[in-house]
Amino acid sequence: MNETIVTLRSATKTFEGGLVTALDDVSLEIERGSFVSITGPSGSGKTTLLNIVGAMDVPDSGEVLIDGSPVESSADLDAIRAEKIGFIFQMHNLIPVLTARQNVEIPMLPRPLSSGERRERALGLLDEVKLRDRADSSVRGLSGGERQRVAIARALANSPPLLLADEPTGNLDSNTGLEIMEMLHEQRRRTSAALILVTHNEVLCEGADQHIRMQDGRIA
Amino acid sequence: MLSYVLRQFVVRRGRTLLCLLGVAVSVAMIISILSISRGMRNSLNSYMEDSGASLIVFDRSAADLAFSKVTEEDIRKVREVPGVVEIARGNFTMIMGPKLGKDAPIAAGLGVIPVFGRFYSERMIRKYKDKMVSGRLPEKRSELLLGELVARKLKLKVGDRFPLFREEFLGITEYEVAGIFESDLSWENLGVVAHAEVVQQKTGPDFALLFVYTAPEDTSKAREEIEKRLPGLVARPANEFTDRFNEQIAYIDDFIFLLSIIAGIVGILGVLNTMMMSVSERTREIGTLRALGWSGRRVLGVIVIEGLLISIVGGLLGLLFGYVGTELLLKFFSRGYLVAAYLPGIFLRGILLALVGGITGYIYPARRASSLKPEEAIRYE
Repeated sequence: MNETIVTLRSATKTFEGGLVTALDDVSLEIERGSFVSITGPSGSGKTTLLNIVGAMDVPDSGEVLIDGSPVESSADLDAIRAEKIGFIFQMHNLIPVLTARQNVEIPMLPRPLSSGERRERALGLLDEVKLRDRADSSVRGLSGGERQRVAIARALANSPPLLLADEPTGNLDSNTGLEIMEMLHEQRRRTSAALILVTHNEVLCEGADQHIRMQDGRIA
Repeated sequence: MLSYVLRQFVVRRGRTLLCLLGVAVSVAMIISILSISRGMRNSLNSYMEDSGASLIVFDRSAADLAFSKVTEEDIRKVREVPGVVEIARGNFTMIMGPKLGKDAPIAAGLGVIPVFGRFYSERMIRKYKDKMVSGRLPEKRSELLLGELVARKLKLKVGDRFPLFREEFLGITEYEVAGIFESDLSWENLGVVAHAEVVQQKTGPDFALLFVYTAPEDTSKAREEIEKRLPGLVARPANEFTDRFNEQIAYIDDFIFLLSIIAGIVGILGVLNTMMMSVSERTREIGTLRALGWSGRRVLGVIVIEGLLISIVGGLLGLLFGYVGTELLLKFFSRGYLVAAYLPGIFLRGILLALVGGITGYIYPARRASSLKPEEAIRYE
């Protein structure tokens, strides 16, 4: 539990030519296998922090390391996202024209895997989230909870050391939401990936190893 | 990746169909325009070479065959050139909508009758001998040969009489069908071969061109001598005449080329518009792919593959539409005198247009999609 997977040192990010400071000199460390929750009101900098930790953006200043790799330019981001990070979005963001299995295979496509290997791995992951029997179903025919389970399987496709979940239960009823969270924790324990959860729901933060509360671009 | 592209096609059928149609219709237009233009040119070339003449003589200053004038005095001088064995006079005219025979108007679909006066030459007449399907060759000025199509459309048979012109020429008001011929040239089938003197009454005293016959060894010298004695005329072997004729109708080529460009632009704009919509509606999806680690180049690759597949399939459909559409147009609207030539080069141009047009139409949306920032695209509504 003491291997650092994410390091931010004095990360600052501004928008609109410096008029809006979304992230203000933020430093933090996240350990492998830990559960980290990020909360805060709208406009507090949660999304910007998530984008930087998720290698979707780079800070204007400061240093970011993900699994030991420095994130210094936009050119590094694609590879870091593909290899180190699994995303779970509020709206699941599955590709509607594809089946559940094909959606899980999407992150594996840039990797040198045969179609058979991709298929086997995707089926294995769908088995983990108890959806193997729906592998060849169009995601349009799945319920909200099932879709989010497919999204979890997809996030695990490349065995990333870091899982980022942005309001993963925001569109689900409370029971289904708890099931999804239970499944996320189960996979976190199984894979030893760190789980960063961004949420407004304090209940979901219970048991967090680290709780980050954002306020005006800073960690409160 | 290919399965992702193919699924996009299947699931988004409407958009796929629109893109395919955009490319296919443009290609079909090109195929139709070029094949009809080539067909007509081939027909004209065949017509000239079919005469079997050693030399074709015509007016040097004429911008087009229709304006060429060769006078009786010119003919007399050409006849005196050593080596010239025989001369056939040629005139071309078109009669617009005369009433033909038995008080009946022209049969439906027949408004233009080309009249070819190519007589005064046994050789020219003999050319028709092999093409006769009924009757015999004309023996007097009041007799005609009818193309098979004209005879069929006007329901005329050998021995029938009808007024070819409204006017009385050389004391003739009605002409007798001496024979009916069938030519490989569809527009000639819609023609009437009349005595040159009769046609001359209609077109004026001059002729458009001369078909000059010489012994093969005398052709070159006769050509030089004709041009020396008659500087206002050009003498060309039949195959060179068609080249010259093609140069003279270069403006038609320019027109056709312009039409092709317009068809191409319409196709590109159609594909561009459809693809822009497609990429726009998939912004969030593309953002998700980028968030999942797909590089901008990979996203670009997906859209380009889509473009290539659409171009190839749309292009092939366009070839099919072009061929079928042209045949239907010719069958129902050409009145029988248009013909199309489907040359490999024309189909190749169609496929090239599809590839260039389709890919051009995809480049901008593809570049836009690949440059989307994932964090913005994911939240795109």
